Amino acid sequence: MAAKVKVATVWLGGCSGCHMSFLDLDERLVELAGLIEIVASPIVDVKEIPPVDVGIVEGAVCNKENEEVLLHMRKQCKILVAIGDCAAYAGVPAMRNQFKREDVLDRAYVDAESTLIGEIPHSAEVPELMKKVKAIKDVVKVDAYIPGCPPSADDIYYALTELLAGRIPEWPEGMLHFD
Amino acid sequence: MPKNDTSPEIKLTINSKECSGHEGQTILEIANDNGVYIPTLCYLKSLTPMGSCRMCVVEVEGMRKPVTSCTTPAANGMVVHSNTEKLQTMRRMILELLFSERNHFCPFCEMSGGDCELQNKAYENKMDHIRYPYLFPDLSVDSSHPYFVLDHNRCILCARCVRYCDEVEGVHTLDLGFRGHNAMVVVDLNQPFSESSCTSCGGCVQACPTGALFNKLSSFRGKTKDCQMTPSICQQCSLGCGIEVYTRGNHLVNIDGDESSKVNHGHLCNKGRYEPLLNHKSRILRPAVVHQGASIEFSWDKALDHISYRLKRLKAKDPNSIYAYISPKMTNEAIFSFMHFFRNIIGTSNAYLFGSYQYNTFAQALNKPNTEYSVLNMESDMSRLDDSDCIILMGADPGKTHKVLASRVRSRIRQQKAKLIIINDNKSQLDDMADIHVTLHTGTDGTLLNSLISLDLTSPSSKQQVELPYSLREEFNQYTPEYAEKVTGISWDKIVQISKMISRAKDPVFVFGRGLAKQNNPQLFQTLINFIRQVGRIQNGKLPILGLRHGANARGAFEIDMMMRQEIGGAPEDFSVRLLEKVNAEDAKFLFLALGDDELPFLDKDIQKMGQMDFLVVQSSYPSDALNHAEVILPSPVWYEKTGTMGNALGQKQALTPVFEPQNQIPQEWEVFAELAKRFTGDKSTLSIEQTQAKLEEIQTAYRAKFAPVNVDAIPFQCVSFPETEEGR
Repeated sequence: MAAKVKVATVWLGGCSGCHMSFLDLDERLVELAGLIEIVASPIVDVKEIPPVDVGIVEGAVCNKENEEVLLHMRKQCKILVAIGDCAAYAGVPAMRNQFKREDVLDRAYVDAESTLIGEIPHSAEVPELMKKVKAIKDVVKVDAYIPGCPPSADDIYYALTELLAGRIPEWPEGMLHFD
Repeated sequence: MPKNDTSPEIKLTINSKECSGHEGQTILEIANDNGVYIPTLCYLKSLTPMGSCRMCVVEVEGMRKPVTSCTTPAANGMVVHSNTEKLQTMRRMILELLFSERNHFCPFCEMSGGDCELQNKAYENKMDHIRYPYLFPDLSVDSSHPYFVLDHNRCILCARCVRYCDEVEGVHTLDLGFRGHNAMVVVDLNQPFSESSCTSCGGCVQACPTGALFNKLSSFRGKTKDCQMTPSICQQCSLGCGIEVYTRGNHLVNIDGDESSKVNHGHLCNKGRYEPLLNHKSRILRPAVVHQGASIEFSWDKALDHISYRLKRLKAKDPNSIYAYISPKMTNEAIFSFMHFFRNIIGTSNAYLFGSYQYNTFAQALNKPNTEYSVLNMESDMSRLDDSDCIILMGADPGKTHKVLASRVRSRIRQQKAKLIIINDNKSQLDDMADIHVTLHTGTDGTLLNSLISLDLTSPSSKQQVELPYSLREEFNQYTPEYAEKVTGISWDKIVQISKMISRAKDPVFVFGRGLAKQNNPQLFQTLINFIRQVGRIQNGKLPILGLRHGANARGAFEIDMMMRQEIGGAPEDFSVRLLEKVNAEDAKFLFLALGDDELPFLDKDIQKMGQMDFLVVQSSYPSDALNHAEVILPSPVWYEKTGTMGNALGQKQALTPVFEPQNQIPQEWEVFAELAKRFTGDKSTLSIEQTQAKLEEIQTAYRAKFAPVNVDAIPFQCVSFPETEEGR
């Protein structure tokens, strides 16, 4: 039996919906478990990313930590896959790009209706927010895309089986969706 | 460019398919006609092609560069390719540029999932990512309009809304402002929608390919693909525009114009598109009998028994003490069953159609007995406007009452294809667009027409169709500049201008409205017809006159009313001018008011009259003051529940398709009248709708066959003197 394909996943500035969609593969997960090994992921115990064949990235690049994790992932993987609209197009997090970073922080921490006296957190442990949210293709080279908000389990299954077959997935009309 | 069948035929090859068309057509038009698909975004069939989005690029052999097929005229022998690899690459680049230029967040957008043409094109072109950097421009959202939202973030500057607003609605509220990369759709002079000249027709929303313009009332209530579409007819005015009603479950989601309709070609006004969605009025849902001030719900059978008991007693004593009024908003079948019941079965001569005077004065102008149906034959239909080069509005304000017709007028004026003359005693919506706009003293239209005839008589370029005797000329000569100015309040200069403009026009059309009809003076119409004869504008036996009337089925209702009147030998001039005018308190005992979903403004004196009745039945969809004195209240279906037919502005009969089942199984109005009739005739079964329609059709055909078109030349050419109104003196 051939060695299993090593896969790592991360989520950056996203809602984890794409990972949930991955879990929606249901019994197909069993089939995939025979072919791939998820060596690091938010949904498994190991968070540290070792060198892998395929790196799957959910979410947009919203802060410095996202950027660091993404750059690390790029180094560790052979094929980098952007999953979901945030990773592919910057998506919903990028709706803040029309505003100044300071205004966005104020809105969240100071001007929020539920906040009486608020301040913007300043700590070395809190990663710095980027001025503009970026799609991951604007930070690193991306090899394949699985658009959708979230992509359906069928989309993810299609993309993974295509990748396992050695092809970059191309999206036929009727399958591609941005919502 | 419209397809012109008379121009020479050409043949070209598109994607190795032999295609044929006509000279003057674009490559895209010929491809569409021959079933070859070329993707488009900024192209809309009803608008002038602009070639701004470049989606429709094609390669033509022998041409150096790809060309936009929507703007390139086709030529004989052209070899066109629309789907080469090069073009596919270009299209995908164009799409990526469009997506990267503004803030398109599909998961957040109401149009996503089938209703967005931009998104559909991205799917079609397999755009799974965007290679260009996003600009993330800081753009605004204008939600100040009551019906829709303009979100610049989603705009691709295809200018479909701009062209629609200009070419179809004819107001040009929208335009493209600013330059190059900063270009934006602007409302008037970059104002909020709520402070603009917008007429709220919603055409821009229907035209928008993305979510840049979307309806507030229908958003997030169901995507087009999740809705059921029922084609029907708008019942807000007498034009009879085709509509597409989108529903989901028991909800009205959206109304769009039906492009296949010959009346409106897909265009609608705010009354047709939005007002029905805003209607949340409470309804009358069950028959009720009012007893000592308390309204008690009864079954249909009991309520109708109660009515027929009273009717039977009165019929035996004096059938003419029974009065009945019906709204011209009702279907042909309802009017027919109503008139059949009250006139033929009850035998009263006091069954009336509201507002029938709107036709009657015109009918009498033709001064021949039994010519009423021919009036409808002779009157021009709405399509006449499309050929006219001079539109004269007399006492009409289509911008308020018949808005789709107003947009047709405006677009003719905007395209400089016609002149507009407005003669009114009040301000009207189209005043600003008029070439000549005069405000005359109320009721002096006749004097103005006589002055115009008098002017034409002395004009060397007159094209008059009748030779007038000297004495008659003398009579018209009395309409001197001084007299005309004094009576009408219009300066002589203006009257001369009007005369010149009409006599220069090839095909003038006179559109009259309530302002003329309410004067209830047949001689006024006679004078109008004579003026038209004088200026030599009667073509093919049709008068270039078009009437705007109240009531969705004004045209159909009038014809049936006339026909039924003939059947019982009633006097054709016996019409009710004002609502309840004929109700004579001394002998009237019983009044049946069939209002349906027509919401008429009742005056105090109307309500007072209703109070004087011994017995008042009100059949209505909505509660109103009319219920104050009602003895029996009957519910009525509303527009989206109705079955039957209505007449439209083109003089055709159109079938209504019910969008929903009637609430509480409220019967159709015609069924109620048929049920009442059964209580008198002893018939066991009621006619079905098909049988009723067949019977109506049979009577109509026989009726129409009796009348030849009116001979206009038989109308005496007289110089009718009109009263000088108080203001004129």
